[in-house]
Amino acid sequence: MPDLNMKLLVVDDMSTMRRILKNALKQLGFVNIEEAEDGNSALVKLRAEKYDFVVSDWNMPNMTGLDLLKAIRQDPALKALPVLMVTAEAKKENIMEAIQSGVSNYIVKPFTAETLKEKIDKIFEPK
Amino acid sequence: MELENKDLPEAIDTEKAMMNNQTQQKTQLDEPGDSVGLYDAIGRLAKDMNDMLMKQQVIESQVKTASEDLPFVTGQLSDLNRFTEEETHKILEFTETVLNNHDLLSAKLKSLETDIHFPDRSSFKDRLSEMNGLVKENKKVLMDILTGLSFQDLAGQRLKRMDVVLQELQARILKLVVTYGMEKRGEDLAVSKQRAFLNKLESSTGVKKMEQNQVNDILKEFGF
Repeated sequence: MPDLNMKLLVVDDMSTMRRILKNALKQLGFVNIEEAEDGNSALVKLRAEKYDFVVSDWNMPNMTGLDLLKAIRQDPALKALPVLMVTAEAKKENIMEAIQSGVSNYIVKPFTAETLKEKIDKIFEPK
Repeated sequence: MELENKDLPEAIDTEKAMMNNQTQQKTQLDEPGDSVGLYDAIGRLAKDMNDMLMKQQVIESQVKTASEDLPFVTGQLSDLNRFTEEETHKILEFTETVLNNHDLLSAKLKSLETDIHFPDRSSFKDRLSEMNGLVKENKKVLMDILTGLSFQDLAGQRLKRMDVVLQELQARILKLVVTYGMEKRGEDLAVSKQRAFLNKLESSTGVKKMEQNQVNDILKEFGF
């Protein structure tokens, strides 16, 4: 069971998707949720403040979710940060690429609140 | 045209003069120096025909690519229409469920209000339990509505892909307009200006969206 007070960053270029994800996460009990509209602005926020969890889209302008994931894994200060991809990219090669780049879990849009909860629980379950 | 008798001698003289002139021209061409001229003329004609064929091949290639891309866009639009319709129906179904539950809850609350002075403890408890179940179901359905709305993002991504294809098509068509449009109109466009338009198109193709005013400028230059 994840800490519901942890700080989350939702990254998506579509404002509707950010709103959907924020509301879904709030319904799951999370209270500390911030937003970024692409990989670049997300990385700036991640380097400026401490976050505990990133939920990111794949297809975004300026910096994609995959590039954001790679940048996080290459940054010594951020490399342990859990990253959940919520994306329309449902091809096997996309999923493989995300896994190889160090994604913590992967959700394909459209998704349900149950799937979101299940994936988050899996990320934060004791190893 | 019918001739009057008085005009006949004049017409005969004219005809004779024309025949004489043609014979002279033929005689001139039969001379060796004029064979070279004829050969050159045929050569130029062949080169012009070749140039025309080459241009036609370029146009055909551009039109072929455009023809191949258009069915893709049409297919995508048709799929998108179906997809958004299906997803909207799902959201509508969820909303109808919430509304039905809401009506049931209202009716049960009203009956509880009426029966509160004569409570039958066991049925009272059952009715509260049913109401609790409806509230829980509504919460789940509302969450489904929330996440189901992500179809807008998926539709948006497909539209972006189509936008890219249409941008490329637009650039190809404008390129054809720039390259061949003025020739067809029998006008002359400075080569440097034509090159500038083509460069503008090259730089915009597939990289970034052309601004509508850029497109308008080009079209205006070519009389559209």
